[in-house]
Amino acid sequence: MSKNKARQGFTYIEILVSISLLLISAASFFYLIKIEKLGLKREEKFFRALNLAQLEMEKIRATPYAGINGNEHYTEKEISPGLKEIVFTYSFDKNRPPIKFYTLRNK
Amino acid sequence: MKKHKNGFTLVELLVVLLVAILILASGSLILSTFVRHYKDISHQAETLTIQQFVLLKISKEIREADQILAISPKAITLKTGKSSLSYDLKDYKVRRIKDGSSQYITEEHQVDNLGFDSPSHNLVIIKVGSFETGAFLRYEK
Repeated sequence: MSKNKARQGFTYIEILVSISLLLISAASFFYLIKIEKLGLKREEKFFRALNLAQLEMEKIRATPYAGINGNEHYTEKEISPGLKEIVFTYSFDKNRPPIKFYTLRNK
Repeated sequence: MKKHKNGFTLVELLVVLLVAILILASGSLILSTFVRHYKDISHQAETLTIQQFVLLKISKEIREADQILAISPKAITLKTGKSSLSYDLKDYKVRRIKDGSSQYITEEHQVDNLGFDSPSHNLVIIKVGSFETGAFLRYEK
């Protein structure tokens, strides 16, 4: 009986399983942090791109009507005399859709 | 006599205590690291949101202004209707002065740099933190 009792205790397998469970739960915490950090970076990149797109848009608004002839950022089309449709596209990340602005401009 | 033998020995108790302390210590270490990182991230996210808010607010007010009275790399003064409005950085906070009364729109160190640039007379480039945008004076008089 006493011999049996002495044999009771943890086996190696049990210890390994418990340690691996502990490690998995710890790793999940750190994985969560990593995801949050990535999300933050993504958001910052998007904000920066949005602000720069806004800057380009304001530059177009500051340009006189006759000077709006399109460049690498936007295309323009005269939809009726004295009214131009401007389509502005700003690519900031190859994995995400570009920022697109539409606006009208009259003489 | 047999009953006595069924209890823990001192060594067993010590070993159990040691193991419990080790597990608790590692657990609390993991948890505190997580909480610290989490606080750090939420602080960064808050800073980002506030910088974006400040940038939008300033660019909106520049767009609606009638005239730029003064512009320097660190400050701007606008005229809208009969009131004057200026922005600068004071004591690590963004200060907004409207008709002589000043107000801080951020907490300390949320915005560490505020810059203005004017490539043409009716276009202003605003820099807040790591963000940059522009504003065109629509109703310029």
